[in-house]
Amino acid sequence: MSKAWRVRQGMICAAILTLGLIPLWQATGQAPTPSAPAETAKSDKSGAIPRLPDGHPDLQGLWHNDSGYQAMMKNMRSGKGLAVALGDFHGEGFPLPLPYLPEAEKVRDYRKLHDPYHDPEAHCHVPGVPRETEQPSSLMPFQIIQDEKYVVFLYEYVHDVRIVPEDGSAHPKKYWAWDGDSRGHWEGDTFVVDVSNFNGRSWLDMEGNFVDENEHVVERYTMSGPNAIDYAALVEDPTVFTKPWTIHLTLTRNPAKDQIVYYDCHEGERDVQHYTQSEGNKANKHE
Amino acid sequence: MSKRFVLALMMAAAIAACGRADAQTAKENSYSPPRLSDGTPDFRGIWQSRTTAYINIEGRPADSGTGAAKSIVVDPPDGKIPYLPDALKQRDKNYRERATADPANNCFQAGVPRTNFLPTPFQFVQSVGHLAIVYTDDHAYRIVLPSSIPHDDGIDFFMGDSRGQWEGNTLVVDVTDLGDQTWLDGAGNYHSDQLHVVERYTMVGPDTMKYEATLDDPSVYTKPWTIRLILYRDRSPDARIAEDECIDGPDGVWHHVSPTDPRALRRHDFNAELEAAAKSQ
Amino acid sequence: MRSFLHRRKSMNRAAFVAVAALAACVIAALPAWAHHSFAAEFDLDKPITLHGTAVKWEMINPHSYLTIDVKNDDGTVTRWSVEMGAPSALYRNGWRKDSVKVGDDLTIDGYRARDGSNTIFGSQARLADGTRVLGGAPRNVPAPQPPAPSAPDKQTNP
Repeated sequence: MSKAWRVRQGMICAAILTLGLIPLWQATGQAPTPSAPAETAKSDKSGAIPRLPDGHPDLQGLWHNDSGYQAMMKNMRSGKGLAVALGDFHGEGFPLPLPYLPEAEKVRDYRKLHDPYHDPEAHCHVPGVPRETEQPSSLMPFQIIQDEKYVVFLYEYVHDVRIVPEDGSAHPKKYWAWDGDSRGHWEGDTFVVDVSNFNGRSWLDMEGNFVDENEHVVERYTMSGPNAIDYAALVEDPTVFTKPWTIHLTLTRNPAKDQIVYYDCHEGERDVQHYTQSEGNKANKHE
Repeated sequence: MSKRFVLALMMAAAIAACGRADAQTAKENSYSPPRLSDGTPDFRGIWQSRTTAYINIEGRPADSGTGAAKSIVVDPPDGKIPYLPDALKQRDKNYRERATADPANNCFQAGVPRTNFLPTPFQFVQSVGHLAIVYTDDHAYRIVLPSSIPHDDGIDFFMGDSRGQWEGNTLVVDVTDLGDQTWLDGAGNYHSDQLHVVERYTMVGPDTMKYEATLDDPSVYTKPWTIRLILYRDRSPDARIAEDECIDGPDGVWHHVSPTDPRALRRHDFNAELEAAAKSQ
Repeated sequence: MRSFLHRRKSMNRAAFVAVAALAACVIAALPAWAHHSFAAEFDLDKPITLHGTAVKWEMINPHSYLTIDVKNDDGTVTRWSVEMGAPSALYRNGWRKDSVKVGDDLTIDGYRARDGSNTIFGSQARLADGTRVLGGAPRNVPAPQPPAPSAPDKQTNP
C-alpha cells in the first residue's frame, strides 16, 4: 500500500470519525453478544464506588485498558494511516523512551528489528506483568473476581490468570514464572500487588522492549468511580534500566452485556513457516 | 432355633442394614456446607481428584507401578462408555496411537470433564454473583455464567462454554461448545463437537465434593453416560495454583515448564545475545 | 443517551452507510490481537483482493484460515490461504463456524505474505450472502523499518 494511499485512507477515516463518536456496537447494530470496548464509558467519576461487605472497594467485573484503546483511536483520527495507527499501542501513561542501560538498549534494538520470533507472545505465552494489563487488555478485556481471600484476574488474552492472595504473604524463593508471583494487600482503598519471581523471558511489547529475571513490579488499583480504575505500575529492573519507571493508565468497565470470549491461542500454529527468516530466528530456532 | 426366630433375626438384620445404608446416603446428601452471604454453598478453595481416571476413565488392570483402577463410569452400570460401533473403532485406534495422538501431548487445554480429574489441583473462585474455576494445567479457566445467559453459539472453546445454577446444595453446570480437539482421558476416549456435558458438584463433607458429569454426544455414543468421582480440598497453607506454561522443545516435543524448576529461569546474558546476533547478520 | 437513540431512529440510509463505513474504518484497525508481529509475516505495501471459491474454513487458534481457489485470467486455478484473526476476535466481528461453506463465492481484501507464498492476511471478506465481515486485522504493525543500516530511531509517544 503506498504512503499516499495510507494517508488517504487515514484522512477518510478521520473525516468520518469527526461526525462524532458513536459507540461501536451501536454503530454496527451488532447482536447483544460480546462487543468491542465502549467508547463512551470513559472514566466515570460520578457516584460512590461500590463496596463489598468487608468494606473494600468492589473491583469485580469486566475491564479493559481504556488508555491504550484511546491511544489507538487517536492514532486513527490523526490520519497517520493504517500502518502507524496499528502501531505502538502505548498510551500517554507509558513512559517512552524507557531508561535502558546501554547494553540493554542494544539488545532491545536488536530484538525490535531482527528478532520478532522470540517475543514470548508469538508462542502463546502469558505476557507477564505489566504487559498483559497494558497491551492486549486494550481490546481483550479481563474479569476481576474478589472472594475475600484472593483477588483474581482472568484475562481473555491467552486465558492468562493471576490469583493474587490478599494477605500480603511473602514471595516463594524457588519460583520463576512468565507472570511472576503476585502478592496483594490493601492500603486503604488501593489494592497493591507486589510482583516478582519473573523467569526472565517476558517482553513488554512487540517492539523489543523487554525485562529480565530481575524485574520487580508494584501495581496499584484504585477505583476513581464506579466504572473506572486508576492503574499504576512501578517497574524496576536494575540490570535492564537505569532507574524505575511508572505506567499510569485508566481501566474502564466494559458494557454490562460483554463477556469474556475465550482466546485459547494454542491450537494450530502455522505462522512460523511463513516468517521472514529473521536473524534472531536463524541464530536460535527455539524458544 | 425356630424358623420364625431365624426369620425375625434376618429381617432385623436386613432392616438394620437398610437403616445404615439410608443413614449413610442421607448423611452424604444432607451435608450442609458453609455458605456465602447469599446462601449458596461455599466451594472456595483448592481441590483435586485422587483417581487415576486421567489415564483411563474405564479403569485399568494393575500395571507396572500402579495398582488396578476401577472405571469411574457409573452409568451404564458395566462401567463402559456406550460408543456407537464405528466410534468404538475410532476409540481403539486412538488408544493404539495415544503416545502421539493425545492432544494433551501438544499442551492443549484438557477440556471438560478431563481437567477436573487431572493430577493437578484447581481452585474454585467464588463470590456473590461470580464463579470461576481456575486450573493449574495450561492455566485454563472456566467462568461459570448464570443459566439465564444463553450459550455462545457457533464457536468452539477448548474449555467449553459453561452456564450454572444451584439446585439445593448442588451446582449444576451445563457445558457446550467444546469442539472436538480434546480427549476425555489418556486412553483415547473422545467426543465430537456435538458433546454436551452436564456437571453436578455437591459437597458431601467438610473437604470432600462429589463430582458427576453426564456426557451426551449422539454422533459418538448410543446414549448419555455418567461418571462420578470425589474431589478433595487441600487446606495446607502453602497450597496454590502454580503457573503452568509449555515450550516447544528442541526435540520437537512440547514440555510443561514448572516454575519451581531452576531451568525455568533464564538469566540475562546480553553479551551472548548480541554476539549470536552479530554472527548471524 | 436519549438524544443518541433519537438520532439513530431518524437515520436515513445514506447516514447508515456512512456509519457502517465509520465502523469499517474503526473495526478494520481493531486488531484481533495477533500474537506476533504482523510485519514479520505480511507486507502492508502489498494489498490484494482475491475473488475465489471457498475450499476450507478453519475457525482456529491463534489464527483462523480460509482456503480459497482463485481462477486466474489464463484459466488456471491457484489455491490461496487467507489468514485471519483468532476465533474470539472473529466472533465479535460476527463470524461463526458456519459462516463459510465449501463452494461459497467470496471476495477477500488483504495483504500478501512477505515470503512470496500464496498467503494473505485477510482484513475484510464479502461472504456469499453479501454480508461484509472484517477479518480482525492484526494488532501491532511496527512503523516501517529504517531504509539503511543506521541507528534505529528512539521510540517516542505520538
